[in-house]
Amino acid sequence: MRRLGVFIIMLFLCISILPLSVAADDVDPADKVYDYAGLLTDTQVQQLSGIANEMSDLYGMDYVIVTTDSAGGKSPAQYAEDFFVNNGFGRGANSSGFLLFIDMGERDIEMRGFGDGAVIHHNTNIEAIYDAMVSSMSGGQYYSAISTFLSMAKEQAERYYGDGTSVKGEPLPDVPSVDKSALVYDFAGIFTDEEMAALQSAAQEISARQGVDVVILTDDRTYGRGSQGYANDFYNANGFSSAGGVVMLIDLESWYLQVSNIGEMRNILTNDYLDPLIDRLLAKLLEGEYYDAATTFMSNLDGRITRVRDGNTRVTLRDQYAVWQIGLGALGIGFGAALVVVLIMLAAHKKSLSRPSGANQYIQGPGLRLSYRDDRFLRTHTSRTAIPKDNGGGSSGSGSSGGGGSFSSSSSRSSGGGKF
Amino acid sequence: MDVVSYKCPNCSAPLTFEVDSQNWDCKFCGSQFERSQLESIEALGGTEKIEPVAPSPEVQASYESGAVAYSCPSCGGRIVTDATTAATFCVFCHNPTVIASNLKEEKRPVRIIPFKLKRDEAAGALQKLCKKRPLLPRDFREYGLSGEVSGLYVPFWLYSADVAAQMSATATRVKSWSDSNYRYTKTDTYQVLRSGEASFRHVPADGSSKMDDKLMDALEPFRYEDMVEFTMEYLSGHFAESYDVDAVQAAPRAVSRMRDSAGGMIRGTVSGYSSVRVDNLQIQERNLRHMNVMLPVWMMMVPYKDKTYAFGMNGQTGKMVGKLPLSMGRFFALLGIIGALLSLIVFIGGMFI
Repeated sequence: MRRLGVFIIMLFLCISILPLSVAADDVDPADKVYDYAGLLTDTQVQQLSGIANEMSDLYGMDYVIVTTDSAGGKSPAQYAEDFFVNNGFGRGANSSGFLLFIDMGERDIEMRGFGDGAVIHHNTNIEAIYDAMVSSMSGGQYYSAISTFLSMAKEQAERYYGDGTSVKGEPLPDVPSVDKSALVYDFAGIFTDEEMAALQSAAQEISARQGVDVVILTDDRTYGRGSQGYANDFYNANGFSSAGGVVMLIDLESWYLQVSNIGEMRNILTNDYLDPLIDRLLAKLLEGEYYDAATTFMSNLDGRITRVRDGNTRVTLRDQYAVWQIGLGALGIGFGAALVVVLIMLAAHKKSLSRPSGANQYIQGPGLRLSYRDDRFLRTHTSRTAIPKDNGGGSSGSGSSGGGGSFSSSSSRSSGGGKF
Repeated sequence: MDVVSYKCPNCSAPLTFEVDSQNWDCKFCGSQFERSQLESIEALGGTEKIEPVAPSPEVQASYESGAVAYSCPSCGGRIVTDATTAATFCVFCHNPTVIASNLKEEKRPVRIIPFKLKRDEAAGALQKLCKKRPLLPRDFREYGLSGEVSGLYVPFWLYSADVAAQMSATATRVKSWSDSNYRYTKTDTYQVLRSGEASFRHVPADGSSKMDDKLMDALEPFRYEDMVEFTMEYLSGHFAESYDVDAVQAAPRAVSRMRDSAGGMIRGTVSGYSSVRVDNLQIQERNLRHMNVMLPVWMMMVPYKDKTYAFGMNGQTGKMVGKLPLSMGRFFALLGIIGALLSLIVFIGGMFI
């Protein structure tokens, strides 16, 4: 009994300590590079730390690099998240940051964005960084790989903030100030009056019913912010709901479709939902069917919100394909299966006249009487082929919003990485 | 005695072989005669010899191998047959007639399987064959009811032989394994030699050029244990043909089947290899024997839309064969209906998944 008591106490202590296991004593949020695996020289650590600190100040988020020989049994994503959160990293109201985690034990690279960091360094951008740095990692050029990480992260942050003037202290022109009850704003002038009225009516109806702000915005300029920045700033500057909302921006300056979501909508408009929807919308925009694209977006959004709130987070076919596409697929499947069924019927119909092929049923006695049987070994040959190495790749995690193949939002987490 | 009509010695009405009783019944006075009594029928005056008469020139011209005409002893009508007809009926009074002259000497079968199934069962089997056939024209079953059903003893050759096979093949046995860097494949090659022999008994091939070989083959198997010694009396009440394809002509069909089976069996003795390539296969048959028999077949001819569809039923086992007409209209209608239904189901499902 005494041993059991000690075991339970030890188990309790282990469980209590576990979540904090990556909260190391020597971590100071002011330092940005933690080379536990010893991949870098002290000078390299100082140089990279300097760059990371500069970027952190410039973009208002912590850029952190961690290397280790062992993640202590945790998944790379979990280790990265625990390290970032438990050690007090993150800047601003939404604890923004971007962490690179290199696990030499598993030879794994993990990148994880937090807050605005997830918006700027979304999964697609993380994949791009991974692709750029993986060859250096494989070749043991760790400093070069981490430098690539920082330089590409900087490029992505600059691209997100337009020309970068906002972070250099030069004010950007204000985004238009609008009556937020209208919800549809056609600064590019692509909708007719009737279309505007219909879109506003639909947006207001959905917004009121679902308790979120569904904003449709068209413009031929982005006020130096880029599509993502303009969509986000337009939403925030005009005081739309911070609890939940979405902006669909048709940017005719760069011919870009941007979908940004806010608050609750980040959990509803997931990447796997948005990716196929945006493909469909882009196809319509390319045909100049702006009104159709906007109505399709709203009707899909409405159904999606309802389903997710009912507990069904699965992305449906209806989310991914237009009705006519589902119908066409159904016709193909239906008539394909019907053809198989009818052909089986045809085979059964013709089966009533099948001839016997051999004469096995007329064999007398036990069958074939073998009089000679010999299996002579002639030769042997062994060949070998190299097994291709799997370098892993890809990304995983929860992004949040999207546009034209890339996504943005005001707050979320992104992650990705792979083997090297 | 060239042509005979079996008569009841009690009342002179025709005697026919009855499937139910497997005896010879007189439907007029109810007398019944067993197989053992048949030989005494002739002595009792129960057979009537019928002399041939000259057929008309028009009839003669319509038969390729020459028509033979007889005067029906029952009604006096002309019974016209050809050179292979062994049993028939008077078309006027339906009096059964056996043309014994066409089954003389080498044409005489050694054994026969008497009919075990009746006309009604044959007609019923055709109706059953037409059931649950969604691609069958809707009105074909009605035509089937009015089709002509004839019980026919078909001449068959039964071949027996010993078939020897020798095979030389190259076989491989492949093993694969891998380590962290390479996948290894080891291939062992063997020469496989086999010799063996199989005996086949009573492989059938029909000996009538009037019969569709495919249809006759499909009627197999017959249960030979029911075979009895042939006597003319079994033919009374059914049609019968003597062979016009002799044993030499029909043999290749049966021998080919024996060879196929022997080849398949000797290939089947090679096992445990990843691949087998036959380099040389020699098959020879020897001690080929044959026997002339008559086997019972119910033939049903159904005229339907400018074409006559032939169906056969094994008169012993009831196995029904034949090529049913196909309604392309029903084919496409079913395709459309099933396709539309499945599409609708998939579409509705697709809107919710």
